Amino acid sequence: MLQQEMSASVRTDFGKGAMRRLRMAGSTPAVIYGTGREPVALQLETLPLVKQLLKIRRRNAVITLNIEGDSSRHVLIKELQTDPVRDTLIHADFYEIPLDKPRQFTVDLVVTGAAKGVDVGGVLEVVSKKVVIEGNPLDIPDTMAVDVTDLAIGDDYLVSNLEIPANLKMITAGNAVCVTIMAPSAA
Amino acid sequence: MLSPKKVLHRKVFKGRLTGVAFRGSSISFGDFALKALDCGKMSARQIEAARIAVNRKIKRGGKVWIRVFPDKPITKKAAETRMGKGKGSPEYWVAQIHPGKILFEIAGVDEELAVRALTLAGNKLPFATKVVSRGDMI
Repeated sequence: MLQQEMSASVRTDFGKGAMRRLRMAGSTPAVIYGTGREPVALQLETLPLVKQLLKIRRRNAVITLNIEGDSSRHVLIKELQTDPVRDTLIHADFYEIPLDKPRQFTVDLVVTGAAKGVDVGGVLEVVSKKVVIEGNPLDIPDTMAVDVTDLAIGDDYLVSNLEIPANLKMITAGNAVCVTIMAPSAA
Repeated sequence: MLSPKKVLHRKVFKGRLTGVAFRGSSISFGDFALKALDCGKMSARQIEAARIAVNRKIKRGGKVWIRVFPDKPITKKAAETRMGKGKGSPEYWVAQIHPGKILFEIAGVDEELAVRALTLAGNKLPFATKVVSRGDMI
């Protein structure tokens, strides 16, 4: 899984006016919670935060959050609030996770190769683009490849055909279809 | 043109547009989109004109999504009618647009063509718009 590092400081100001002043000064309010600990209000420098969020692009990522005057914590991005008109960042929620405890993650499927069935006129249809996998956060892959090279017309690529390491567990039903090659008349 | 199949009330109050669009303010289907920057009413005719402008520019190359639907009836009194005697008859349909609302989305075309097509569509509308892309989303 993608790993990033961010630095933050504890926030002592609260409320609408104070947060507006904070954003104008170039920081973004945030909060961290999870693992049964008390939530902590944070503030992060907006520019580096946005740059890193653009790298992550809403994919699964474990972020090591170095909090000033506190220990570093491993977090996931739980929620990002953006301004609907200007698309600027308003607030970020970080969710602390233990790295040694399995969790369920949604992983994107990437179709690779050219299907045999498509060469003879079939139509490739992507039925599902994501699967749910359980495992330790750092063991979860960024994407899973669906190799469609051997698929002829009428063939399906099932979730059970996906190869996953032994330390991971597939949560999506094995008989769920990822990709199918349809006959031209049916398409 | 787009219009509801049936409605509960034929005529509705005029109302006022305030606030921003929190729902429907992010790109959901395509790669590029047209976003409203002001409040306004977008008539079914304007939606159709913008849709045709986009489709002609991209030469039906990509896929276009319309994210707004004109569900508010606008009434009008007949010409040379004295005031009073009740509300006029429904004349056309509008979609109420708040700043931030995504109006159209495009996929399957390159950035330059998408921006040109969506700019043309924005020129058909009675409020300010901007072109946004999925790549700019945080």
